[in-house]
This record gives sequence, structure tokens and C-alpha cells, in this order.
Amino acid sequence: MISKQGILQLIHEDWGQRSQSRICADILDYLINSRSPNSLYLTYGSLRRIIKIACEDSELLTAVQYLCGDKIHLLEVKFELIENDKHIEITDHEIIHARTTGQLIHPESGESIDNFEERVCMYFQPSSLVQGILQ
Amino acid sequence: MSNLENMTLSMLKELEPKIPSLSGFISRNLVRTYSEFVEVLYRDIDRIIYKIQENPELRQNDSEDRLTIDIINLLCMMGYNASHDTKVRGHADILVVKNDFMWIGEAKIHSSYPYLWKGFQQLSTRYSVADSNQKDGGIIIYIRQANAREVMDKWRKHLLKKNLSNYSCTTCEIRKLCFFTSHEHVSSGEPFRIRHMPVILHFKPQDHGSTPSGGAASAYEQTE
Repeated sequence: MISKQGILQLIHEDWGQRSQSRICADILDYLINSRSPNSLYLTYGSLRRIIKIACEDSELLTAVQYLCGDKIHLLEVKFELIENDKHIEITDHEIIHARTTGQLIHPESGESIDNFEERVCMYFQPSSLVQGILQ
Repeated sequence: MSNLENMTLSMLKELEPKIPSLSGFISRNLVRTYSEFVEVLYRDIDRIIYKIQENPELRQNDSEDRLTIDIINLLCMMGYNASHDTKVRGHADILVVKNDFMWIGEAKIHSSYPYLWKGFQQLSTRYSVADSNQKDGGIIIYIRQANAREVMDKWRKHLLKKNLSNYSCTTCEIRKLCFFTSHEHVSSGEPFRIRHMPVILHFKPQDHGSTPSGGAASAYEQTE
């Protein structure tokens, strides 16, 4: 178990006065105040709407990367194919295989996708740590 | 800027030249084995070293700790759980942890080969055990004198004379100035692989009157 204050301190140690400190803090707030964090579906776009300061996309992206990392690990990176508004989840194992072979096997049709990097989107979900954070 | 709503892997890749610290984001998140962990970590450490080498003139008076803490801070910003002076059988200069995986680094400003050897011994006989979760370690060598290649070659020869058990040495294919050594770890009896990584901080421009701090760089010219 870690406290919200403890996480904020770690964030501040790493980012100091940079915008990423505030971005991470706003995302942390949003996650721990969410009624059902497990069902959250977050994109870079939705995370941008959560944060309360104006920032560059580069600051948002690096802050999100940090929150997905091992030190804080509030967010999990997820992958999906979006086809005609249908979201098809791609597992880490399937992505690892695709990056090794250069081809993604479509989880439903079994069809091989060569240009998978142009079609696979990223999104984020709260990690299991979020529910254990003491406010 | 790209479409933040549906960010594809290729869109993220296109951003990497503009936001270099995003390079390897996906790889870092997909690490599953120890060797993948170390491979990705070395790629990231190389990126950080290249960045530091862009401004050697600002680093001439930095201490070993200052230089090392900057590397650790940049690793943390990438998402690594990296720390300085953490207690692991002693106070290691750099500790990077991912779940059970551990990588320990020792960092030295090059002043002599016996001093580097001291770092090698600290890493090999104090901080590490070379068990399956920490089969690798690293030595970061800050070099303020000219000709890092020569320093690394001499360091390599110096190690060869130490008659370490089951010792081998190979050049790194990714960054040619680096090399790997492997030897039987005294504590575990397992192979312990060390990557030796120079950071080129030599700064002595030859264009007239452009050395900003005067003697700082030239003082290290006398090291060898």
C-alpha cells in the first residue's frame, strides 16, 4: 500500500517543477476519485481532457509514459484494433509475436496483417495498484 | 501533432524524433525476460549517454555522483524504477529494478585503471551475486581525457591481466566503444556479464580562444 502523498512525492522528485509533475498529479487524482477505475478506458485524448493545465502534447506523452513505467505504474498500456467502431483487444503476447514476425494475426479472422503498426492503437487502463492507494 | 484519440504504434514511432525519450516506450512495456530487460535498458542508457555527450563543456566540473544522478533521473523519467545509493549489499551507484529483475551499475570518472578496477570489484564482489534475476551489471566510465577508444582498449587489457575465472570479453555490436565481459561470480559460481560503457566528456576545442572554462578539460589530458 502506498499513499497518494507518497506517490506525489516520487513524481515531484523525478519531475520537479516541470509540467509533467502537474499532469501526473491530475491523472492520479482522476484515477483515485473514479468510482470504478477498472472499467476506465483512457486514450491520450481522454487523458488530455482530464488534466487541468495547458501543456504540450510532448509533455502529456512523456508524463503518461512515466505513469506506465515501473516506478509509479498507475497505468497499463493496452492495444486494440479499431474496425468500423468495433474495438478488438490485442494481447501483449500477440503484439510481442507481431513485433518479432512482422505480422499480426487478427484475433477474430485469423488473417495476417502486415502493416499492423498502422492499425493497432494504444489505450490505457488503471493498474491494479490504483485501488490500493490510500488517500 | 498526431491524433491523440486513436494513437497507433506507427504514429507513436513518428513522434520519436521530436520526443526522443518516447523511443522504446512499447519495448519497455513488453519486457518479459531478463535478457529483454537488459537489452532494452542498454538501448536506453546509450540514448541517455548520447544526450549527455552533447554538452561536455557543461560537465567538466560535475562530480561522479552528479553525473550518475542525472543518468538515473533520465531513466526514471522514461519510467524505470532506478535509484542511486540504494542499499544492496552496500550502496550501489545505480540500481534498476523491474519486478524481480535487477541491474546494478557502478560509475567512475576515469583517473586510472586501478580506480576502474576498484569499481569492477565493488560491482562484482560486493553488490551483486549473479543469480538468475541479476545476471548482468554495468560499469559507466566518464572519460574527460582524449581518445575514449584508447582508454577502453587499455581497460580491456587491464582486465585481461586479472585472471578472472572463466573470463571472456566481447565487443558490443550496438555501440562499438562498449564491451562486455563475463566471468564466474565468486559468490554464486554463475557467469556475471558486465557491460563497460564510456561517456565521452572530453572537451578541448582547437578553434582559437573557444575553450570556455580554460583548464578544466586540459587537466584531464595528463591522466594517462
